[in-house]
Amino acid sequence: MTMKRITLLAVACLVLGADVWGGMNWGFSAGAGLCVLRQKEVQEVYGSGFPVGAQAWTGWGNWKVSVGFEYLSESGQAVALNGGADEFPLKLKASSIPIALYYQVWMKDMFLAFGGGASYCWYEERWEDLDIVTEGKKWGPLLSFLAGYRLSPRWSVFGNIRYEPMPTGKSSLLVPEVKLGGLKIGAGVMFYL
Amino acid sequence: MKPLRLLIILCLAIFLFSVPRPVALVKISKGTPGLVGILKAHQIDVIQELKTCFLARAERDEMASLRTYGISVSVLDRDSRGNEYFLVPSLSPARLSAVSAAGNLKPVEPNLYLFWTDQGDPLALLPADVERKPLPRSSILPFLKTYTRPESVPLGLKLNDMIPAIINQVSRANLRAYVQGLQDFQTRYSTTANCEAAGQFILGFFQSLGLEAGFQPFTIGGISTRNVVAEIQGETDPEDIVIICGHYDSTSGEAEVSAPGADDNASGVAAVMEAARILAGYPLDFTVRFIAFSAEEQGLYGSHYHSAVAREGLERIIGVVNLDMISYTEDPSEDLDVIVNDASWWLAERAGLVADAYTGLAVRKIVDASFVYSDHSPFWDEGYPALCGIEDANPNNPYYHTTGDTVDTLNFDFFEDAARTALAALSDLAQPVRVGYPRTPAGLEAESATYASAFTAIKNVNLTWQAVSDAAGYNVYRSTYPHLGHVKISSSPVSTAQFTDRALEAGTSYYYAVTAVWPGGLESNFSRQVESPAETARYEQPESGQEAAPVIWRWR
Repeated sequence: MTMKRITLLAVACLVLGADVWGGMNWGFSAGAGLCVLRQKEVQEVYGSGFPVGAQAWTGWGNWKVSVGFEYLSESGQAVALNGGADEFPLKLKASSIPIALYYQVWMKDMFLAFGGGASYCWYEERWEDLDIVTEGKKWGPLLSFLAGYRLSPRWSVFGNIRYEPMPTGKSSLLVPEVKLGGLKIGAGVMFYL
Repeated sequence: MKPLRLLIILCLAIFLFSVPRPVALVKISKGTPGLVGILKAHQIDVIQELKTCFLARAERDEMASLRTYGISVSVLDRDSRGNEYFLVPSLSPARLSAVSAAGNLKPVEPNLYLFWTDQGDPLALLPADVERKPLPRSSILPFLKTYTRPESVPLGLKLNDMIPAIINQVSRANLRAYVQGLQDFQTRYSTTANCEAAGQFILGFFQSLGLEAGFQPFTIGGISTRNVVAEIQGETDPEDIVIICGHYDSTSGEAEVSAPGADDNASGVAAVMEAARILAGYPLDFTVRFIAFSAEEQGLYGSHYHSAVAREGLERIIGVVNLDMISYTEDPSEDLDVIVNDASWWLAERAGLVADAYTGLAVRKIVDASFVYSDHSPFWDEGYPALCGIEDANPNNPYYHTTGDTVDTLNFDFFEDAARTALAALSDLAQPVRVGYPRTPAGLEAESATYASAFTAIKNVNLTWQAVSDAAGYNVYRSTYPHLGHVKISSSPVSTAQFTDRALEAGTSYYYAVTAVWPGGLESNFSRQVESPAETARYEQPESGQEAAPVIWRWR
């Protein structure tokens, strides 16, 4: 746990302190997406997810580092495993801080970026009519592909595909390990300082 | 040359693949967390549970798989095909060497050996007075579970005010007369005509009480013998059965001519007969079966046969009270040892609580799956809860298995107390119907509906039972232990014969019973107990809450 905190701190310092290094640019992006191909069992409970988030970017040359914040709030319904007819509404909230290193290439006004990193996720699942709450936090890996188009020197639009499983380390009746994420497809805008 | 070589290789391949792979008899040590789950995940052919280990038949690759979990697996016999195995106790060095000369003898646990022969009849080669327990031929894996046994649990069920009146009818004179009657057959060694006559004597006794009774014949080693079985049908749920039993055969160094077997085990049978005499006059909620087993001394064959038939018929046996040697004591303050396996822990606990409440006889509860030399053990093998009541887990009767085991050596103070305690335990399980109280609700059933979120799961348990005509309502009781620790969960009596217990933890087993209540508040006996078992994971893994084992794909 200490190592993870140190890593998080180091990356934050790297990003936030990056402007002291010459030739580094700052940018920000915001977007929303759809989480598809998550665990089938989780999908049965909550359906597909619609995360929203924002990220800060910096880097030098073709290398970029991003740190962001993403939020997912979903309503669902407990799955009846053996034919019960009752309904139990559920609420899932998951927040994550994705940290990634990208390699970015420009082709005229278009750019492509491939990257990977880790995300720190904390989550809460609540049975709305009952006093049952599950909370937790855990690191997980992420892989991302991003494609964008420069609209002006400061503004770009982008689309991205990201694999972020958001493992929880918790087992349930349905799966050996619950994973709240999956393949995320999103789009957003990017602003450069 | 080349075609010849090819032919040789082909023949060799056919030979190698056609030779059946040896299935070894192995000892699998307990101690690894989640062991039962791992055995289930690998479908290991477990045939015997002991205190510190399991005995199983396993192929080489199965042993290798188990060892990857750090489980200690040792081979007792490399090829178990066709072999019949017997567990035998530790004997004097001279006797041990005599037995080992007759066949193979391997230590399994302290004071426990495995005996088998490569040729010849192992039954004939074992001295008649040596205790033995044949290993089951079929797997006990479906019945294995991991049990959580608390330090102590309150009884949680009501004491029945008829039980003191019932147990006070136990007559010392009757006990003496039954033992004397059985001893008078000179020997009751299973293969003798005297044993047959003793069986007839017991059957005649049961019939004289007006009970449904009969022989249950079976054959061992080409010799036919028979159990004696009698029943009192339950009035509320007759398909729920409580068994009280003891073996009526006897043995000694001169088994064919003289084996009085007063303590071993005319005493146990006498307690069964006295229980039958007294309970014959009482209506009971559940069926009581009285059994005198034969061929116990040869290797528990009578009880093995009966329990296997019960399992095949999917009989609902609540519990088995097996009495074996309950009348000899050197110490006037002797306690009654009650021995159970892990699965039957509640039965010993309940017997202890019942003894405290009704008889005051000290009960020593022993959980020891290696105590296999009596008729409770085949019931364990079939997944039924059973206890053995015995004067001492390590018999100290100097006349044990001798021609000196006669009625004049018995301690009738202790014998009477033990018989009363056994009858109290039996009555507590079978529940005498009380006059002046509501009828016991019959036909209780539980059906669970489980609901799962991503992380957790709950279940609603729907209970239904048959309405009691004059009941003002019903109380519903629940426990997380079988037959113990029930607490009322309905704040006020429910008016219909139906109740749903909501939002329970799906991974926990719950046990329910209901009572009928009259307007004045009088409450009936408890209904039969039903279980809402713990939900297990919907993916392949050992057991809920334990570490997962990999999915095993295997050609069979």
